[in-house]
Amino acid sequence: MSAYSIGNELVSIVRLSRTASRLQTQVAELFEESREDVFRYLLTLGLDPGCAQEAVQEVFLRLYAALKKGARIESPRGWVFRVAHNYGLKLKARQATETRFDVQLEARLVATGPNPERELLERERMERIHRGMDGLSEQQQRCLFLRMEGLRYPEIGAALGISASAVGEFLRRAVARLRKTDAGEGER
Amino acid sequence: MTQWASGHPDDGVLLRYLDGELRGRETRRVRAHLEACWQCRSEREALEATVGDSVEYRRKVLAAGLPEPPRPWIDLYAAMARQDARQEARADRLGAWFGIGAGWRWAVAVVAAVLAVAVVYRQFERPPAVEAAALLNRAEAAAEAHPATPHRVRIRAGRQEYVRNFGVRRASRAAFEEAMPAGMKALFERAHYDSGDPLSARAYADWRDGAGEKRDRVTESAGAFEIRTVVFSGELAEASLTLRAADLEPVAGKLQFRGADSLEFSRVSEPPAPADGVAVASHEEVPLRPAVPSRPAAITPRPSASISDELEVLAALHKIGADLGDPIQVTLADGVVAVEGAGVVPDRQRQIHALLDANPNVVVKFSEPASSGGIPVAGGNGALAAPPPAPRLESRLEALAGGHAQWEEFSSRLLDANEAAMARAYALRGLAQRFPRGGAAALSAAERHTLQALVAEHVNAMAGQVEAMASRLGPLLAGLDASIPKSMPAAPFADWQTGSEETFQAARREEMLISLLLGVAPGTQPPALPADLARTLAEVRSDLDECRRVLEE
Repeated sequence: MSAYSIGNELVSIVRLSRTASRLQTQVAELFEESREDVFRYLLTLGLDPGCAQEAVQEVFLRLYAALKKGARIESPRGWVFRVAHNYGLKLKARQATETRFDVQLEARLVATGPNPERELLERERMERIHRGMDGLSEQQQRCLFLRMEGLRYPEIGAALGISASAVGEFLRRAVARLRKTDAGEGER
Repeated sequence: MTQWASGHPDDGVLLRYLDGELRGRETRRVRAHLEACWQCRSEREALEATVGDSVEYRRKVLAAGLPEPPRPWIDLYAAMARQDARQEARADRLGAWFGIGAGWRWAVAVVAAVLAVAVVYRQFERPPAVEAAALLNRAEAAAEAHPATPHRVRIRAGRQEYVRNFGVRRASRAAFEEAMPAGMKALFERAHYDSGDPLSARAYADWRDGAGEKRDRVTESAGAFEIRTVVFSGELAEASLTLRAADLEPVAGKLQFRGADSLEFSRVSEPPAPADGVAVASHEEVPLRPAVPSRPAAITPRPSASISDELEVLAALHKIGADLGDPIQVTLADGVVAVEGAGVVPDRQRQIHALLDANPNVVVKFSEPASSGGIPVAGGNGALAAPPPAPRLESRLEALAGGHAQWEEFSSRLLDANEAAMARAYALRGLAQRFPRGGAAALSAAERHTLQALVAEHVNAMAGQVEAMASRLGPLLAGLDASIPKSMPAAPFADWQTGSEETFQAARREEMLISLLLGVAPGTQPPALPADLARTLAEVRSDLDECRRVLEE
C-alpha cells in the first residue's frame, strides 16, 4: 500500500472525526435550548417526570445517531418533537399508572408581589385560560401545545399523524373555543 | 371576484395567515383585504390576543407550574461519545472476528480486501445485503417516527395459536400475558425474547444484542427484507424477522429452538379461524385501540374494555339519539369506556344509565356544567351566535316566502333541518375519526357490520334532511335566479371515512351560506350567495350519494 493511499485514509478519518464533533456540537446546542420544552410537552402527554426526562435524553441521542448516519433532517426541532411524541406515547402505554397533567395552578399563582389586587386579577385571567385549555379536545390541545413550541403545521401534522390542513382546523377550533370561554366568563 | 363566500376570510383563514401557513397568492389577498376591512382587522387583533394569552399561559402556567426534571440533565457530549464508542467497539469486534492485528497497514489492507470481496459479492447477490443492525436501527426509527396503528399478530407454537392486538397500552399487557398459553410463555422466556411485542424491530434487536456469538444474513425479495440470525450457543438456534421494504414494518418472525420447538409470529388483518380438521388450542385477545384519554384522572383503570365496547356504547347511544348533539363525550382509555356528560338533563341521564350500567367495562359519569359554561358541545358553531347585520336580501326573501310571518317560519324550519343535518355530519365525522380505515380493520366481521349500519343510518338520515332543505330552498333560490344542480361531479371516495370528512366540509360550507342567507351570521351577503348555496347543496347531496355507493361496495 502506498504512502499516498495511507494518507488518504488518514484524511478521511480526520474528516469523519470532525464531522462527528460538529454534529455533537449541533445536537448538544439544540439539547440545551429545547430539552425543557420537550420535557414539558411530554408531561402534558401524561408521562411521569422521571420517564419524561429519560425520554428527552433518549430522543436527542437518537437525533445524533440519525444525523451521524447521514439522515437529512430539515428541522431538527420538529424532528425531536415528532420522535418525542411517538416515543412518549409508547412509554406512556408502558407506564403502570397514568400521570395526570396537573399544573398545580392554585399553588403557583399565589399573590406575593407589591400589588395583590392586580395579581389577583391576573390569577383569575390565568385560571380562565386554564379552564379554556382544559375544555379543549385532546387533539386540539396537542396541536396548540406543539404550535406554542414553534412547530409549523406540517411538522405538527407529522408528529400527530394528521394532515397540515387538519392541524389548521384543530387550531382554529381551539382558538375559537378559548375565545368563547374567555368571552363567556369575562361577561360574568 | 369575491374570494370568500361571506366576503371576509373566516377565522381559520386568518389564523393560517397569521401563522404564515397560507400560499403566496392567498396571503396577498388576505393582506389586501385586511388593509381595507376594519371588521377583519379587529378580528385579527382578537385572534392575536388569544394567541398572546396562550403564549402567556405557556410561560406563566406550563413553564412555572409543571414539575421540574427529577435529576440533573446528563452530559450529552459524554453520552454521544459513549454511543460512538459502543459503535466502534462493535466494529472492532468485527475486526477481531477476522483475526486482524492493530497495525495500520494491515487494517487498511483488510478494509480494501473486504471491500473487494463485497464488490464481488454484490455482483452475485442482488440487491446488496444490508447490515442487520443498521436495518434494525432504521426499522426502530421508522416505528418511532410513525404513530402505531392497531394491528393483529398471530403467534404460533406448535399446535397452539394465539392472536394479539397491538398498538396497545400497558394496561392490556397484563391481561395478555395472563391469557397467553403457559407453554408459549415459557418458550418466550427460554428464548429471552420479549413476549410483549414480539413482532417488532425493537424486540428482535434487544434479543440480538443479548445473544452470544451469532451470524446475520440479510436478503431482499418480494418487497421485503429478511434478517436471519444464526446463534452458535444458547437456547435458540436461529431467529428471523421479515420487514416490509416500503416502510420497514415487521410482518413476520420466527424463533427456532435447538430441538423441535419454534415460535412463529405474523401480522394478520383478519381474525384467525381455527384450521380445518386440526385441533388448535387457540385464544383470541379482545381488540384494543391505542386511545389516549382526555380526562384520565376521572377514570378507574379496569383493563378489559376494547374498541368493541366503544362501538357498543356508541351504538347504544345512537339508539336513543344521544350521539346527535348531546354534550356527551365517549373515550376509551385505561381499559374502560368512559361516558361523560355535563349539563345532561336528568331523564336523559337515567336513560343512558339504564342502557350502559350493565356493561362492566363502561363508566358513566355526569356532572353539572362548570361556571365556564360546561364542556363544549361537539358540533357547536360559535359563528351562529353573533348578532346579525341587516341583510340586504331579506325583503326579497320575505316577498318570495309570502310575507314576514311565513319567512320567519321558513327560516326557523330551515335552521332546524340544517341543525339536524349538521348533527349527522358531526356524528359521521366522529365515527370516521374513531374508526379510521386501519383501526376499523381490527374489528370483527359482525362489529364491522354494526359500524357500517351506524354509518349508513347517519348518511341516509342526513341525505333525507338535505333533500328536505333542497325542496324548501329550491323555489326560493329559483326566485333569486339560482337553481340547484341535479348532481355535481365528484372524485370517488376511497372509503367511507374519506367520504365523511368531505361531506362534513361541504356541509359546513352549506351551513355558513344558509346562515348568511337567513341573516343569522355576520358578514355581507355576496351577490353570488344564492348560486353558491345551490351549488353547495348539490355538492353535499353528491357527497352523500358517493358515501352510499362506497358503503354498498
